[in-house]
Amino acid sequence: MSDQTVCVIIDGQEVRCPAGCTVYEAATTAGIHIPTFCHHPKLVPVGACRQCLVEVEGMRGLQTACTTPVRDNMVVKVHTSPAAVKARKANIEFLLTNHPLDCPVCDKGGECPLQNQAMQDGPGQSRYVEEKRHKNKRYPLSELIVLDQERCVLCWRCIRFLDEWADDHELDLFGRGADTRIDTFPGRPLRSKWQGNTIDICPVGALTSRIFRFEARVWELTNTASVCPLCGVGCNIVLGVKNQKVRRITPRENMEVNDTWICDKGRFAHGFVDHPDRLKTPLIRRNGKLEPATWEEALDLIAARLNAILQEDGPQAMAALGSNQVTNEANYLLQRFMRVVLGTNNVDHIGRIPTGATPLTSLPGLEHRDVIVLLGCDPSTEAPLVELWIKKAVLRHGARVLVANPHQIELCRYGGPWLGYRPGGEVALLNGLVRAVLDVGAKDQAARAANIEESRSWLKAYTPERVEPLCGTPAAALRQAAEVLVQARRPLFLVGPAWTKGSGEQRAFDALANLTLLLNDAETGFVAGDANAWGALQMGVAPHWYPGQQPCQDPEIRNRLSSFWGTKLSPVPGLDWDGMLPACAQGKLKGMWIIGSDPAHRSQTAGEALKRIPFLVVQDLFMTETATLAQVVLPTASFAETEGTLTNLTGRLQMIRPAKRPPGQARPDWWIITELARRMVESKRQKSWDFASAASVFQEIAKVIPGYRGLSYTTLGEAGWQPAPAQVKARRHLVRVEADPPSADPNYPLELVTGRLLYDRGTLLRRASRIQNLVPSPYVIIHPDTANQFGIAHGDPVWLISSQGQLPFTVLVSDEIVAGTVFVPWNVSDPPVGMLVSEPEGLTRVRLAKQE
Amino acid sequence: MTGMQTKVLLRNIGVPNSHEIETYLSRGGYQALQKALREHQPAEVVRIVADSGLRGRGGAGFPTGRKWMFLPKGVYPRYLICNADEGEPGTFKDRVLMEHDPHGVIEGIAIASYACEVHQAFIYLRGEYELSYHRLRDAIVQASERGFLGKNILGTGYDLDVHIVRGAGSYVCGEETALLSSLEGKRGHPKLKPPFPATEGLYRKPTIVNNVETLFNVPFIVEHGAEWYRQWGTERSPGLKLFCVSGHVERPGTYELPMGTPMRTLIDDLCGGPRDGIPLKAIIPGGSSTPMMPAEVALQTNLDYESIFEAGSLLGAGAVIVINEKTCIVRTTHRLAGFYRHESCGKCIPCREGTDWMYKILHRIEHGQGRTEDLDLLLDICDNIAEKSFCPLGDAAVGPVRSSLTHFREEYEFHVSEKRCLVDG
Amino acid sequence: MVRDAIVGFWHILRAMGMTLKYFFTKPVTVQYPEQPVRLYPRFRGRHELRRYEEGPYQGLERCIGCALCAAYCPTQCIYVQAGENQDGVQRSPGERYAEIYEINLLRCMFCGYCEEACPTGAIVLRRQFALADYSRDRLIYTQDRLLTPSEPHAIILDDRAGSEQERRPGVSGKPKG
Repeated sequence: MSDQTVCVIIDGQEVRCPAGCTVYEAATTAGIHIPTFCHHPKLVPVGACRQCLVEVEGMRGLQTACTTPVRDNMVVKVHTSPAAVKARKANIEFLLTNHPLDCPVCDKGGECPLQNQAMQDGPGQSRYVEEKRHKNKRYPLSELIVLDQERCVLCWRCIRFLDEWADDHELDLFGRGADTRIDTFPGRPLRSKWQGNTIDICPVGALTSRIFRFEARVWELTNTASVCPLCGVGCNIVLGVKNQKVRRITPRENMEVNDTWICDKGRFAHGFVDHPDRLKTPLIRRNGKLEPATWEEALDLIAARLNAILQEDGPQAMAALGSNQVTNEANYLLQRFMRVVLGTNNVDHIGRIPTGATPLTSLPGLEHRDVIVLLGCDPSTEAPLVELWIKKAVLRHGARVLVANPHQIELCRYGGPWLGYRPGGEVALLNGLVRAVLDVGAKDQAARAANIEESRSWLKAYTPERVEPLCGTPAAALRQAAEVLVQARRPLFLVGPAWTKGSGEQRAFDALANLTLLLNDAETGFVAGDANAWGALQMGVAPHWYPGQQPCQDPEIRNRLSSFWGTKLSPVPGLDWDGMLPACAQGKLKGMWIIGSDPAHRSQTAGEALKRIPFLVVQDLFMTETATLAQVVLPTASFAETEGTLTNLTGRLQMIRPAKRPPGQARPDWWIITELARRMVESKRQKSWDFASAASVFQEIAKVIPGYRGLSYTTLGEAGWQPAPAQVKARRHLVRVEADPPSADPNYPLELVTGRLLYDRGTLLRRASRIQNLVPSPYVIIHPDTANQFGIAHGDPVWLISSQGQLPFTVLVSDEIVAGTVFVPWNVSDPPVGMLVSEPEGLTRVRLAKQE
Repeated sequence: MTGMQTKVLLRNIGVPNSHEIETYLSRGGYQALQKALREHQPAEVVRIVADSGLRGRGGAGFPTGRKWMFLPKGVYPRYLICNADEGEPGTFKDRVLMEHDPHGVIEGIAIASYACEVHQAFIYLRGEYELSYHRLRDAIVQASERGFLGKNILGTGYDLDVHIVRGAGSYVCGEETALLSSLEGKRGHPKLKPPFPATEGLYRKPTIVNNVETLFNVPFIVEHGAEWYRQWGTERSPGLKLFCVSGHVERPGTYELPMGTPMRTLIDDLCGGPRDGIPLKAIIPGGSSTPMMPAEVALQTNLDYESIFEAGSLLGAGAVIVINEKTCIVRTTHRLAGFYRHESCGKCIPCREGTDWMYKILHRIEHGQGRTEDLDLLLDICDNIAEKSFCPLGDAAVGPVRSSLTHFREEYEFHVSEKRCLVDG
Repeated sequence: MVRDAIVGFWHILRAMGMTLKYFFTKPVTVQYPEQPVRLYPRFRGRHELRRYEEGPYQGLERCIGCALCAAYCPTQCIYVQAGENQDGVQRSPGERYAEIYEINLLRCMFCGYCEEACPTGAIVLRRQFALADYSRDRLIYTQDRLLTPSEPHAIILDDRAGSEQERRPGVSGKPKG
């Protein structure tokens, strides 16, 4: 589309619009409604339904508004042309001849474009007296979607969405003419994780959700704008609530985040919110059993016990775990409580974003990257919307996707190359790439590094052939990848949490910086898998950071915050999670408060350590494994029941809003922390804990964090607030980073690789009905070489044994994994695979044994 | 009979082993190809064909030379497609050519490909044409062996491969954009125009789609020149045309006549007049999609695009269907409507739902359950389909219904009021 | 003053005459519940959910849980929660039935809009008017009670006995003015 504008006259109204846009778009900008079925603003127009016929002066016959480009001084008649009005009326009559008109039982009724257009443009009465065509009704396409072929108007928006956006060609038209119907291919149900979007774009009630099915009529729903809490993208959603129950989730357009789409997990997995398992009252351990109590009792008890520990063992005997899943407000208050009331820096959260990571600058910007490199990151399962944006870059602009991952992920389907590596081989892999880029590339690449000559000497050791034994990546794939990288105009490196596990944060990022330094306009972004990973870090739920990532060591900042919070902040360095565990085990920690995380589920070591804490308080939605160890359990409000902000993987602040009341006595986190603090500080200082709402907490956050000055819930609004991208100081020098030799242990010859699946049996998804039917049974993927080595065949039941214990799995033999590693998905097996992992989480080595 | 017929296009038909390359060569075959390749630049061939005034024989009658000139300059590769999906009820002229003179078809394709600077040509063949497939396939092999196809044709440096793709039995795939979809391996759905195939067609490259008979004419034009070709026919519809006559005549079949010949010559002289002397009721002049004409009107017209259009119908592909007094028009229309209902691709609403509805109404009328208001309803449905549908199939489906209701309304009324057929009694 | 007394006396006499007149007319009060009440045929009493009495759906509930009654209800006294008919256990024809159907008769004003909105003729206002009960909860009528018909002790007047206008002077067929 050019920048030129043209003038079109539509129904006598002069409309200015960009040259090259369609008549439909021009009319829409002028507020003139042209009805459509097949046309959708996000899909390529096909002009099939003929509902948008308009009259254009000087053109023979009627034209489809959705496909006709505007010309200057074009005269279009939409509602003033009798021929066009008649054609549209006739079209509705045609459609309704075979439509079952079962609106009273149809979930689309009330928000159905066909209903609206039948009322607006239809003839009112049908002249059709014959029997209607019969096709399949109540025809499940998958676990999540049911099709009614009789209601379908065959606009094939669903097919086109899956083709043009999701690139999952799983639906198609079958049959011909009047017998045409939408269907899946025989024996292949819909598997796309984007299928839920077809429900939204279906202009009739043909595709409906099996989870929302008959739950409510749409006009009965109270709709609340919110944000999805299930991954780091923070898709904008609408919660539809009827009778204090979340009935459905639909996407809300935000071009900076999720366009108009959401993944099926975000859409369908809301069952946990209203699950009967939700904690409804505070619980106190009496005689070894957790028993219901009132808030008064529970909070008084916690205050008394914490005061006692403070007296006896001092502030350093207490610690708290925040969460990358709960709101900024809760995280902020938690660290404020720990630092101000208890006087300790022992506050952290699990899955903290590694030091050196930078947030992605923009999600829609992904579309305009020509090479996207995924380092230990699988957007398809960890942050699905990122995958959609990547697919857009691939499908519409021909971007290349390089994948560095121990096993093949879905995005490998775009030809990769796939750079499989063994965990711990990250540095070797990157050094190999640096070397290959220098070899393949012309002088341009070398010229970018100031110290290229002296670096060549240490890089000598990293020819692709020498790297192959270090990390397991084939030399040919490395060379191929280097060639793609050298050609790249705007490469983007997406780093996942797995990337820094093996080699350590500093070295992994240094090695990556070496590579990006050599490339054209390269950017690195960290893809956080959790809803508020950046927020938890920003709020200072870290032992070495105050809110806004202001270092605790800096006395000036400490003094400033001390006077702001009205207390003397402790200069003693705090324990991080990895430090808390031995402290627990050694009995140094007497009290601990855990909000919104379940460390006992993640690893056996953590569970054992937490058992040794005399006073453990857990605040969560469900009775998690950690909660069963607690002395006091506090029921908290879910994302659908509380107000607050979440920070997504681009650092964008977005608001969640309460759509319903929490179940029973459950309360929002900010209320619980505030109430507890007010019990523990002397009365004259209680004013500083006078938070009346999450909004007032956020007001304080906006004062504490330098970059947030002037923000409030009002300014965040519906769309959220995007911080300016951080200015990363460009390096000019290659830093020498040497790779580790591959680790070896004759008892445990294999590396364990874990990864998320989109649908798993985690705390929340376990309580989402239907989604559970999509979770595979526990499996382990092994390389054919490993299979030969252990004499194991595809489908065999095996034990996976680590130094921590053993778990049963079914073997899948596949060459889509690097030899010497095995892959097990998180949160699928019960007991969880975390049982095999020791904390602090580094590399876990395992072996296989056939089950007898 | 043969004396009255001009025999240019059909000169090889009836010759023993006419499909063999030896026969073809012995009768002057591939001379035009040699002439084109050796003596003319591609643009000159286009010019000659344009000057001849040859119009597309597939039905629409679009000037062939002009179509070739639409190819955008400098965009390669280009493709040429020979549309051999002869699906229209009543047409069988292309089949005669492909079965009995396959080398003529190949030569036409080769010259057209040369003119359009195409190196890959496709024959999209109707799936049911088994013999045509074998004859064409053998012809391609023979022609390649003799150096008329393949690399470096006749030593001129021009390369051309011809591929045969067999359709899967869908009528709509005779429509050029649906044909392209089908050829690309997709569902046989027509595509949006513009872009027209000449600018963006097969695999989004410039593509020329021509009917078999159109391409068959090309060698003659190239060999003898445009002026020679213009000796037949009228100013605006020059040349020779094949007419395939079916129905109630004594000798149905494919005949070759200059454009503009009176219909009466075709029916009475060549075809031997009405079968068994039963007077004629109606004539469909151009294949089932063209409007029906009362026989007395049709017999007054001449066989060229303009005359038949003036008389209220279309020349189409030249498939003349003759219907006599003993035939029930309602039943005929019912059959035709059934065909179009079956062949609608289902892409657009007016055609998909309209053809279904028309068929159901005609079915009721045919079976004695018609209502008086059904006749006007049918006409209104015709109005609502015509020119509203995505591709011309909608218009084609309307043709027989609307014309029969216009010209033979009393038969419908009899069906409705008496609940039986006027003809059967 | 005498005149005032006479006029006053006359008024008293007139009033007494009126009383006397009704002394001889038939009383309008009915000894309910011993005697039946006379009801007009279009009287709208307590709701009932109907079943199909014949045909292929015989015995099935008419209600399909579409909640159009609840949508139309001006006092929002109807609550519907739909469910999906499982194969083999068909409560109503088609895919959908009312899992929960409740009417709060304390709120209901018997306007009959629900009846008007119902696409299957499932909810009807019948003639039962004796709705007094001992607890408020009992007046939230649940589906099982709504599905149970109950006839009042009443005589239903014949609609043909007289025109509508005569009986209900407030309602006129003609527009006013």
